[in-house]
Amino acid sequence: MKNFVKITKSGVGNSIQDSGRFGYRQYGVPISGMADSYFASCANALVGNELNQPVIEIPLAGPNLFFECSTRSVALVGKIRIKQISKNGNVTSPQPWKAFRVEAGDIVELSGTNGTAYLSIQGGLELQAIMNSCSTYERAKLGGLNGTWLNINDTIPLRPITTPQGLCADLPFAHETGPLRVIPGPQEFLFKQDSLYKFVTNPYTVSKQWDRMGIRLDGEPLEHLSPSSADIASDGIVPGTIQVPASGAPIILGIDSQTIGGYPKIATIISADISRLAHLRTGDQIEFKNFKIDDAIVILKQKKLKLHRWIEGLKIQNWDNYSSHENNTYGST
Amino acid sequence: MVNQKFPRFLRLGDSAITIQFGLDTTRELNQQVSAFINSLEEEINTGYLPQIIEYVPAVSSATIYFHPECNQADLISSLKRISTKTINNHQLGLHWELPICFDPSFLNDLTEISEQLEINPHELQKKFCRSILQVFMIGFMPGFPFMGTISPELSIPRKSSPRTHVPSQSVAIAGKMCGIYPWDSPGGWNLLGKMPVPLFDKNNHIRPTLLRSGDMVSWKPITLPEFEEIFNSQKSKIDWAPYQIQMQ
Repeated sequence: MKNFVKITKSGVGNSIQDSGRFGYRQYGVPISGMADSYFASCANALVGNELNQPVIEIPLAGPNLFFECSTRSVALVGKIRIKQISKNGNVTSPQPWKAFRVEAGDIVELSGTNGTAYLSIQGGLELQAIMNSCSTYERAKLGGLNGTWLNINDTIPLRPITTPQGLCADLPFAHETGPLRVIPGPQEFLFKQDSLYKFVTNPYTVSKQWDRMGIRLDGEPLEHLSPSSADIASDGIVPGTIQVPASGAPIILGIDSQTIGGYPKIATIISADISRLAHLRTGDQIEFKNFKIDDAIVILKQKKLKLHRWIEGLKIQNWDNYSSHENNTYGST
Repeated sequence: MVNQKFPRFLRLGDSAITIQFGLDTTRELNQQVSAFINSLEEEINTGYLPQIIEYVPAVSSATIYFHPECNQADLISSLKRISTKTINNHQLGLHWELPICFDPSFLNDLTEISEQLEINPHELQKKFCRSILQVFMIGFMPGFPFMGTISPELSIPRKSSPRTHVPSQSVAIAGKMCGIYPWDSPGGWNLLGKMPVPLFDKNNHIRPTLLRSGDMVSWKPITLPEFEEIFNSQKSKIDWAPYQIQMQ
């Protein structure tokens, strides 16, 4: 049997992402990958996939999908509404954070999202890795299906599976709230002292300009020591670096950002908080808080442990609310 | 800034560090970066420093990316050791002779540059083609080389208003730097002409970019038919070998 899923209506900015493309930054290739690796891992865990498998990232509005595959589970993670229409016309409303079962001929329609959502399909997407990764990087046409955002009529092959099974969570995985934690630097010394203070005391608002490359912030402008400090010899950056051009408005660099930058970088968001950036939208208010590296590592370890425990706490999905035609190997409890 | 000692170690969050060798845009400083990267690669290739994920050489600095949960104090002392012992470990990169076509049908700024620099367009092309440039870093987009330094008499600032669309393969200059656009993109540099050889090969997992930090580039002017012949032949299969020359 042919296993595939076809996009029958495009969403907005949907792309295939895995854990990222490492080892090629020296060639100018950004790492890309899941903007929220925790949520994406949750989606994979719910359908029994390895956590770093490619998933469909949905930052704004989800697509409509037509499934032509052996019966298997699908999971969505995030704030999104799901409508499932079976071949014989039955309409159901599966919930995110719980795997649901799809059969050949099913249509799944997804709503707009609040923050970024992820879709994972049991068995995983059958894709060819480009430079060790299936992550889509649109500008250089790398990864995904043809290196582009997902579009109507795209057909994504699925890997075969043996037994349809899925898991469900009692509660969604929750990120920390509160200020985004940052390590000062690498060029904090190129800013006026009162701007360094402003940066961690005044709130900022997410502007209309945000995407996987970066998030421009509105708020009180930050001042460089002198006009000449606004331009530096370009050096390496990392997702989460906050650069400040001459205008004084900070930009948080995203997972698709270029590999080097020529503006002073006032601070860098800690690894544990990077995934939170995936859910920031125009108008959201954020604050920054200075943090120490040692504490950032402790937080990162705690967060990984929290994800591990969340996955361990998943329960086998009860399929009883589904009609049980075709085969009965699912729902083994 | 007078008393600063180099190399200087700057934290870039909890999982990266930038080692700055100086503040200027010079070949000497960039060679110091290459020397450091060479020594670092030697250690990594012999199995040391497994906590390092990757590294990015820039004009006057190198950024090292590592697993945040490693022993960072150990890593930093290793990097300090390598950064101080390697000043002379500069190995020459590859030397390329790249074709460049100044055909007026390509989007270009030759007239504006000539007027600003008070030099006639033919002299401008000749002077540019005589320059041998060093690749300082790859960045901005995959495969985009920052090459320098341009002779001061050809130095011209970025355009005051960037173009929203610069065609791929355009060769451009700004300040002391020369670049080549691998993809269509926005851009504020002054366009000279086009170079027909692709700068990025996604199927080459070992060396996906034509140019690497430390390489040298000289130029060979070509006609439009020659440009088209090279451009079309590279479409079916990317082959960089014909453009590499042996350095004396």
